[in-house]
This record gives sequence, structure tokens and C-alpha cells, in this order.
Amino acid sequence: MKTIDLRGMGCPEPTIIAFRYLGRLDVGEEAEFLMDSSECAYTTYKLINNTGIAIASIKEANRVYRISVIKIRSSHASLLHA
Amino acid sequence: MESNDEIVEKIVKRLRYYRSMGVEPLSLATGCAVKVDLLRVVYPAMEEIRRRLENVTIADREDADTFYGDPSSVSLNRVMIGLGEERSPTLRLKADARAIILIQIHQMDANEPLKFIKKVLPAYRTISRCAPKIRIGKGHSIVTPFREDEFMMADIISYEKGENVILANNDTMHIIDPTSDPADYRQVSGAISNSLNDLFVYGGYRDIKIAPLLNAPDEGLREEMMSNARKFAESIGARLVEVEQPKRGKLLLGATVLASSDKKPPTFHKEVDKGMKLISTRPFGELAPITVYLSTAIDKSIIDDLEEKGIGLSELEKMKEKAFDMISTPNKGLGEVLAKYLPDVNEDYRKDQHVACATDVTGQGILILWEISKLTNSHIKVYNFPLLFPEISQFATESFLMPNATAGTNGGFVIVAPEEIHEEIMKELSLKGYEPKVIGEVLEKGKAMVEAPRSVAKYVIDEEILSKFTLKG
Repeated sequence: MKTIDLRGMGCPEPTIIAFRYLGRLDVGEEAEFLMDSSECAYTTYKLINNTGIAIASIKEANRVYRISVIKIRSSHASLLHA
Repeated sequence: MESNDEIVEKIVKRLRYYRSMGVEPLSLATGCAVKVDLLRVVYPAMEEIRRRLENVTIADREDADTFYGDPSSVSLNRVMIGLGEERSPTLRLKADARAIILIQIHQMDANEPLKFIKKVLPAYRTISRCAPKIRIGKGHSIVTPFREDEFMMADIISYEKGENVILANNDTMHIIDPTSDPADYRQVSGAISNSLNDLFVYGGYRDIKIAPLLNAPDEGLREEMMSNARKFAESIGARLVEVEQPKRGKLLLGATVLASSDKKPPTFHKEVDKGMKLISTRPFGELAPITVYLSTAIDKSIIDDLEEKGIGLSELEKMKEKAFDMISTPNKGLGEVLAKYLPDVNEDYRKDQHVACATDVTGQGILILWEISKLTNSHIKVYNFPLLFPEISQFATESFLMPNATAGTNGGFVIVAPEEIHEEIMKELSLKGYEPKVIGEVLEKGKAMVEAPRSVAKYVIDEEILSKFTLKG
């Protein structure tokens, strides 16, 4: 699992980078994003879960937010061809 | 012609400039919450505030405050109050009044109802002393990361009784296009047009009054923005009301706007019936080109991905400019056309003559069709949802740049019109320069449901939004 350190960046840049990274993951692949802004971390967590193509969980320790993601579907392409 | 590097450098410089003014321009891309959470914070807090204020009534959430009055008697006075402390108001009216409220509150006090109440209740108490009775018809609350920027703006509206419909609204934003100069006329024009949109969609376009809310960290820019607001008011035959400005904090653009109408607003949800047509007044999704253009400053690989699709950065820049032009154009003509198809204030709705409902398409984009279906309890079939640049909306979705690439600002309208008059309405809209299209129809009443083409999934990643639609075809 790859860890992407997005600490020290101004919100919402980490959200944009993490969301775009999600698009590049393969199905079944996992990634972890580290952020130090709670607003940004929770926006990212919600944004990823809302897609329904990945599952995200969030943990906080010493003001570092760790968002773990596993991609479960490639996209909504299945909806286009069902 | 500028090279890609030169264009990106230009965007990066602009982003730095906006950040220096306390605005995070990238929040546009992620749809970051600049408004206080309605369900978790505002609604529970307002329930409590209602109980604690005797002479103040607070309306439920509406697109615009609507009341009967004499348009010639309407006047607006602005009261600016700091949060957290009650003080003696500068305005004391003898007659009952209405108010439009805007609260800018620090983010740490905006995430829990109790903290929110503690901060805003003293300001509400100050407002309650401005008139014997006050009805707050419309209010909204936005978040700031800066403590010193907190304030409550109360635009107190006094009026005499009358038989016209008076409409009032306030909308405020940090910026429209963060890749353009804040002094660009279109920034102020777009922000005020966005506030006016809720009046136009109710058929109100007469006696327009604009009380601008414009703020910037430096006086020169504030003056330029005010001059743009004056120019804008003149361009639509509106009166600019000279009012106090916050003069604290960062960039803010918007206005409280008033208009009058002698028609009932198009909220005849129960009258929506089988066979009625859904008309769009122009393509939607104008935020997609702005967001994609903006995102190239964070990740240059987006430019390569775009070029693979045959779209150059300078071409994207032109699309972004077209979207910005569209956002900054007031929809007054739509209000004029709509008003022709609404019943007079003393007349009943007639299916062979009147529009049943209308709504503007803004931040939620395509989701508005589900809202219409819910409000009217109808099964709607959508044929297509026209987008300004479908290829860019699709790119924004596939590249994970926007959760909903159908979103817009100061968007066009969706009108639900009886079959008998829909062609006539479309002709009128075309004559005014709009691009009306029949985008769907009401299949039956009694069941809220939206059937939409599968292609919708090309423009939305958010599964929660997609789950509202039954995708077919």
C-alpha cells in the first residue's frame, strides 16, 4: 500500500490531489493519505465514500489524519452499459 | 499565443493573489463547505433561537422572501453587528419590518449548534430591537477561517401594505472565477446576478433594488468593485441602494436584492400533471471548464490528459471565458418571459395559460430534477440534460476533478409547463436570445421518481446523486 504524505499543504489542495489519485488506482488497490487539516481530511473522506467506487476510513493521532482507501470499482462505467 | 507554461504560471500567480486576500480559490474545485451545515447546525440552532426571541419570527428556508406590499414604499436599511455581543441598534423603526440576514462566522463556532447559538444570539437580540416585530424572511450563514471577519449583516426592509408581490433575497460568495481579476466587471456582475436569479425565477423583475455587499482587503479594489456594481445596476435598470459595508476581513461579493411583481410565483406544485413538459432555458454545467482550468495549476498532468482528448489548454481557456461570460449575464429576460405565463395576484392558476413551476439550476446541477420530482410528487422522464461543454464535464468526471460536473452558478432555469403552452414559451425565450429545449416530461403523478438516460453517469461521480435517478436507455 502506498502512503501519500499531503501534510503541510493548504486546504483543499490535499483533497484535490487525493481525489485525483483515487482515479488512478486499480480495483482492489489500497492507498493511504496523510493530512494535518481536519477540515480537509473529513472533506476527502466524505468525497471518496460518496463516490461509491472506493471505501475510505479515517483515523486521527497527534493531529495527523490518516485516510485509508481501497478501490472497489473502476468507475460508474457499469451504469453506462447495464 | 501563450504557451502552456505561461498559462499555468498565470493561473498560479492568480491563485497566490487570491490566497493573499484570504480566499482559497481551490475550494471551488472540491465544493468545499463555505456555508454552515444546514442540517447539523443551522436548523437545530434556529429552532432554539426562535424560542428565545419574542418579537422575531424566522421563516422556514425559502429561495426568496415573498410578501405583499406597495413597491413604491419599500426601503432598505443595513445594520452591521459584530458576533457575540448584544448592543444598542443604530436603527429603530416604529412599524413592523422584515429582515434578510447574512452571518459570517468563524469555522470553529460553525460546527456545533450550541457554539453557533452562543455567537449569533446576541446579534439576533440586537436586531430584535430595531422594530416592534421583525420577520426574518431569508438568512444564510457562511464560514470564515478568520476570527476578525465575523459579522452579522441585517438588511431591514420596511414597507407599506399593498397588492403587489415583493421578493427579497441575499446571496454572497468569495469569488466567481478565481482565475480572473477580482476587479473584472464579470465577478461583481455574476455575484449580483446570482442573487437576483431567485427573484427572476419567481417572475420578479420590476422595481429592482440592489444593496451590494462587497468587501476586499484594500480600499482601491473595494472601490473598483463598487463602481462595477453601479455599472451593473444601471445596465439592468435597477436602483443601487447605498448601504454600509462590512469593511472588515477578506474578499466577499454579493447583494441583497429586491424586486416586485403583480403575479403569483410559479410554485403550483400540486398542479403539475401528466404530459407537462420540462423546458431548459440554456445549457448547464458552467463550473466544469472553470474547475478543470483551475486544476491545471495543481497537477500539470491534467494538461497532457486533456491534449490526449484533443483539447489544448488555450482552447480550454476560451471555454472557461465563455462559461464566465454566461455566469455573469443576468437572467432578467427569463423573469420577463416567466411573468407572462403566471396568474395575476388575484387570479387562480389555469392549466391552459400558466407555468406550474420553475427553478434555477445552480450548485446541485442535475440533482435539481430530483428536487422537482419530490416537490411535485411526479414521475419525470428526462430525455437529456444539456451541458455547455459536455466533453469538459465528462473529462472533469473521468479525471476525478469534480464530484458533480453538471453544477453551475447563476444557472439557467428548468420550467415545468403545460403541453398547451410550452411551444409558445419556447418561442418567447428564443426571441430573447435563450436556447430553450424540451428536456423531459411528466409521465405520471403520485410517485416521486426521475428516469434519466444512462449518459448522465458520464458527468457525475457522486453515487449519492446518481442513486436518485433511474438510469435507462
